[in-house]
Amino acid sequence: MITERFKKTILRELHLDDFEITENLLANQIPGWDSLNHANMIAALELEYKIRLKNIEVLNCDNIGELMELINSKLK
Amino acid sequence: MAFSSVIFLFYFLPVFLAGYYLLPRVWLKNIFLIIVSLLFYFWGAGNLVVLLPVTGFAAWFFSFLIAKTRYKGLSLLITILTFVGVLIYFKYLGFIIDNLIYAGVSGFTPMKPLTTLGVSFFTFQAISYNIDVYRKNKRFEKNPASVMLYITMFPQLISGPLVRYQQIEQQLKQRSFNFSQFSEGVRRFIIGLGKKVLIANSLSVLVKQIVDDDVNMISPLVAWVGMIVFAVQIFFDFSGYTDMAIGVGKMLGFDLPENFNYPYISRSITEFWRRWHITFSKWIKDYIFNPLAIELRYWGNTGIFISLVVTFFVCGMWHGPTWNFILWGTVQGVFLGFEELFLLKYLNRLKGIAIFYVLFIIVSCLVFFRTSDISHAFSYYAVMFSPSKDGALGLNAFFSTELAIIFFFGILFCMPLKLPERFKTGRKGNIIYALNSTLLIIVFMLSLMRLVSETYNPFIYFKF
Repeated sequence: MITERFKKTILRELHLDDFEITENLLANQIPGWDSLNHANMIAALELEYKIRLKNIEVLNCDNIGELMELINSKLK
Repeated sequence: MAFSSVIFLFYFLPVFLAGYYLLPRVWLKNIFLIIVSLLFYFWGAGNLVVLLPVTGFAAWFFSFLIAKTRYKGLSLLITILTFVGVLIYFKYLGFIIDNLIYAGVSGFTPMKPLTTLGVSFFTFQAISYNIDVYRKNKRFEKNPASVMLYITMFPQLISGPLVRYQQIEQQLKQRSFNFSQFSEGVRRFIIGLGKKVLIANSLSVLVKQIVDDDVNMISPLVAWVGMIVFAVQIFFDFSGYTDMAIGVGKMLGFDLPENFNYPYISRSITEFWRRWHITFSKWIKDYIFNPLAIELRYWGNTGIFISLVVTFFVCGMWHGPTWNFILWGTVQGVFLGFEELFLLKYLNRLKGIAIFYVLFIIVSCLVFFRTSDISHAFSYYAVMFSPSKDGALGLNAFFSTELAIIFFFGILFCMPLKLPERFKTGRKGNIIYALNSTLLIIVFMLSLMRLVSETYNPFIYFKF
């Protein structure tokens, strides 16, 4: 499940008004999210959730759903 | 053995294809393809052919260790060290020793450079497969023969496209063989052959005269035009090779990934690297840039800048063990970094005009790529950037009418020329298709005539 908080953070960072974010989406399918600002996006999400992800965990994520899951696992 | 050679076209390919299609099962075709690929490699590499099955088996064995044992991390580390070690030994050791000697470190003697065809390509494929298995265990391939085929397959062996295991995993086990795909492959092959033999080879002679002879004789205009000709040459050389590789792949039932998408119409260097040598730039993005940028993510844009420069330093290094290649890569990395920091905003406002900025940077950087050493590069730059200099030799001294026409078509075909949709269907469509086929036959005949009369036509990217 993509949470509202997760979605809002992404939209805010990318200066998007609205965009449907689903679990199967790849990061680069979201307008403005490309390989160059990928690292900034991860840092922004970490700041929002006040968590630290391991590099390798981030690199292992294949899509948005897996990133959401990773963040959730840190919140428990 | 080059695709654009009489021996490949008239002996190797037909005999191989006959055998390939006579074999009834995919796994038999695969075994046959492995054996023939080793033969293909032996032709150019001699005894070093051993390297190939060893790399193939090692790639599989390491992935087994990564996926099936408790020592995942350690196994991956050993894997990367092994393949990078092979690459360094065969490609960079001489360069490292030369630089140590130059720096005054005693105890080394210069070594003769080793040349191993395609080593940069197949070690990179082996590394990517193992990192992918490390990231997701389920990507482990149980059958060593599939990994072996992935590493050794001759169409993409020497010069790419750099294939990822997952991209062809399904095709290695099951693929369709039909006439339309085969004929599509033949068409693609002829296009590549024409690009290489008719355009790249012709222009290479011109570039050689302009760049390799006394640079003080040429005018600044000639120096610029010479580098633009080289930009056209290298695109046709390399994309022509890729077309032939993809074409042969299709003849065998494979869909290999595309490598070029009209790079010279890019509006930023960032975009250029999404259109030029695509499979390679995705590789360095996924396995060098991304891990670095993630590591440095709390540094903000500085982290991204550093990651880009380091990635393109490696990119330059990958192209060859010389300071020229390193500078060629690193300078582009710096521009990519500038674009990310502030330049992209302005480039977007420039719209189409930004193409000229890209061409200016790319063509200027190619001087490092084409010249033989740093001092040669700087004396070439000196001519390019001293507009008041008089050169004894102007354009007329180098361009014949034939070469001018070839250069013109070269530039034309760098642009995406598409037929309007209404010419693709119905009666008009049939006529266009027939014309197209006739044209391809002519290109094939002309290429053959050139091939038979010329003996020397090395691919630029075979060095890597």
